[in-house]
Amino acid sequence: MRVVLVGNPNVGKSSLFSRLTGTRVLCSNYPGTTVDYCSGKFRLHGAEAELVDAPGTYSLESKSPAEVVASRMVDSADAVVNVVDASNLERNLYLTMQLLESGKPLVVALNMSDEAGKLGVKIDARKLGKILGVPVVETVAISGEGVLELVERMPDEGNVPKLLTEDDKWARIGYIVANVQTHRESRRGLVEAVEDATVRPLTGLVIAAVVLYAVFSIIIYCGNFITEKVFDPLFNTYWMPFAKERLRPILPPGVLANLLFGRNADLVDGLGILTTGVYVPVAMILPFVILFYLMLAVLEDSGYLPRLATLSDNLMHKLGLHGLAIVPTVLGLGCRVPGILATRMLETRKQRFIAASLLALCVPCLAQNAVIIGLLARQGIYYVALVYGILALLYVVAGVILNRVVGGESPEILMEIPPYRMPDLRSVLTKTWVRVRYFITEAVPYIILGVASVNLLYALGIMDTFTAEFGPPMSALFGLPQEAVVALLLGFLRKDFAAGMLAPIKMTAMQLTVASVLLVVYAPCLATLTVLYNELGFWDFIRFLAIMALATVVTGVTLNALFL
Amino acid sequence: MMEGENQEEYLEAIYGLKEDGREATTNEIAEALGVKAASVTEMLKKLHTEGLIRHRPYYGVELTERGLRTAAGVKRKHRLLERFLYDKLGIRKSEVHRQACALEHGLSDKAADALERLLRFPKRCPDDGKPIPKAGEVLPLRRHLGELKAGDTGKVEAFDGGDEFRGKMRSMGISEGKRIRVVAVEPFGGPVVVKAGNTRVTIGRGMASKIRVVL
Repeated sequence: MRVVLVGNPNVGKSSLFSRLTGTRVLCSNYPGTTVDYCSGKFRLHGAEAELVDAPGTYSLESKSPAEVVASRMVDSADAVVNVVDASNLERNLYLTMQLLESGKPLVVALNMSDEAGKLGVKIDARKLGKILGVPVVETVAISGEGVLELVERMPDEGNVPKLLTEDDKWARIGYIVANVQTHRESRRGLVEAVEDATVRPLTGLVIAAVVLYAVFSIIIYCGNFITEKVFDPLFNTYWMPFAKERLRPILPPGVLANLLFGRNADLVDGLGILTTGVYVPVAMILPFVILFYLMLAVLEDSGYLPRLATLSDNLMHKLGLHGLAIVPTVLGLGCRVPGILATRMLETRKQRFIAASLLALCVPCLAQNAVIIGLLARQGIYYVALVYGILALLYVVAGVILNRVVGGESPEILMEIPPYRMPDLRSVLTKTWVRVRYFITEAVPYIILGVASVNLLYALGIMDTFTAEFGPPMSALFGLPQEAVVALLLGFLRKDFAAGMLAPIKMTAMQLTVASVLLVVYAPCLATLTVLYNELGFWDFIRFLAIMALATVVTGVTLNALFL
Repeated sequence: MMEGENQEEYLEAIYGLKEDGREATTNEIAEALGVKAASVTEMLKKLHTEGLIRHRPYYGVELTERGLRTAAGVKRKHRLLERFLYDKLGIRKSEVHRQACALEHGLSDKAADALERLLRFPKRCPDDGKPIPKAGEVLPLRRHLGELKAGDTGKVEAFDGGDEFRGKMRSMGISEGKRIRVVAVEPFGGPVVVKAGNTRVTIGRGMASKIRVVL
């Protein structure tokens, strides 16, 4: 038995889903698409049944990937639960009409009836059920109200579908709304004024700055705390001594011992699979990734993200993107890996390519931010601002160029802005867990692989040849000391690693500024490159590498000419 | 033709296009007036510096509040004169438009009011049945969602983009006859945020320009 949850976006579908299934949830990519969906198990009429959470959609007309997926899911369903937002009955009923045409056993969950009540909307659920000819159950998914009744009333048989023309459907919706809904016009209150203020250009930007500052402060503060106060002691006091003194002696000294336990005793620099390979993903990246996804889920569920997207749409549209592209960008400021994964929310290949490329080229991740601020703040805030200014300029310039060069569609933004809601803890945790699990299975193995391969490159002497060959011409081109170029070249493993190598080199503040910009531009870290490869596919990945090489040379030479 | 008269002709032409629910692009205006596109461009620049119109990239021009008033005033004289020529002087319908065009610029506001009284406050012009604006009245022109300001309210009248676009907007809660309020207009050609019922929707400016609204 397979039951599918179908509904418009932002109607509380995922809350209902996690209410019904608990945490036994599996999320994946729908075959052949970029649409993510989740499925789980729940008990229905005494037996175990599968519950699928279809992507939120306004119709089943197969015009967007989400619609196609939702439509296919309905086809494969034994029964359908149509989640309807009671405060937006008219709009939601259109999908209901289409579901009735599928002839599948259908039950309507009239969700958020509490919120609708506050807005002055009253719906006669019994009458609605009578007109539609299917059970209608009032639910409040967040509190669990009505969820049991919903399961009990899930029907086994569908109705004989009545096919209606488009106009007939709307006429019928008009008739239904007029008969079951009473609407007492509520006055525009404080909440509404705040809702409006967050999308108005001036007030909205101020609020956005405050929100983003708060979010990043929390992530950086808590992330550093976990890394430094929890993982560093664990590794330094327990794991490293154990690995070094107990495990390493088992193996004869040589390439294999170096590969597993590092070329030296340093946690990052040593490049051992069991030392660096564990420390970097677990202690240095994971805390930030978890915090990111947690904050992202809160921002998502509170309804703030669509507002941020609205405010940034005018700029993003000039770069061939639209407002939603701000989400991957914001994520990328923490770690590019989740950022690049988030580019999936964009509709077309062109948009995804531009968003991922810009992210990998000009958005410094947390490690790079640490380098920029850590190394340059001592030289004066001017240089820090200069680096970010150059990167922002590069983002826009590269975006405008890519928009011209890359073929394909850049559809305009069309997006519902849901009302502000208190994030539901259950759904926030489920979302975070699902994403973190994806990061662990998809990105972590590659990071370990990356550590191992750089280790081998050193062992085989390839690294030294490489830097000897590329160091001198690059230093001539970019006006930086040769040691700095070497540090930059090695930075593709981890950017903070490069920071460690840049710090002791004697450079002027301007040279350091240029080095910091190039550190961001010239290559994303190995983890980012692998994710980028997975998301873009072979040819677009090659295209990206070409763009990256070009951007690095142009930026480096330009900055050298302007500032050095 | 005198400079001022020429300006009035242009404003009238733009007003006429808008009245028909069409875009006032350079080509449309040129066709309506029977002049070259280059001269239209020239005149539009002048009207813009005088604050009578504003440009909307890709969608031609819009009349400003002042432009709209001026245009409505001229249109009023034009249609009253048509009525007069047809009703009182017995000029043929096909003739009245050209005659009125020539006479309207010389007619003072006072004379127009007197003419209106004489004709017993006619509602529509004789040749194409368009409404005659009252003194100082600006008729509710069809507007695009893309040109409204934050705080404006109106009723959705129609969609320009074909069935698919109409279906998409409808399924998001923006349908014909629905009252909407413009919550915000993002600068630099950014999207428009509207509220329809209890739904807020962000709509790209291009799409918004395909939604016709009556204020």
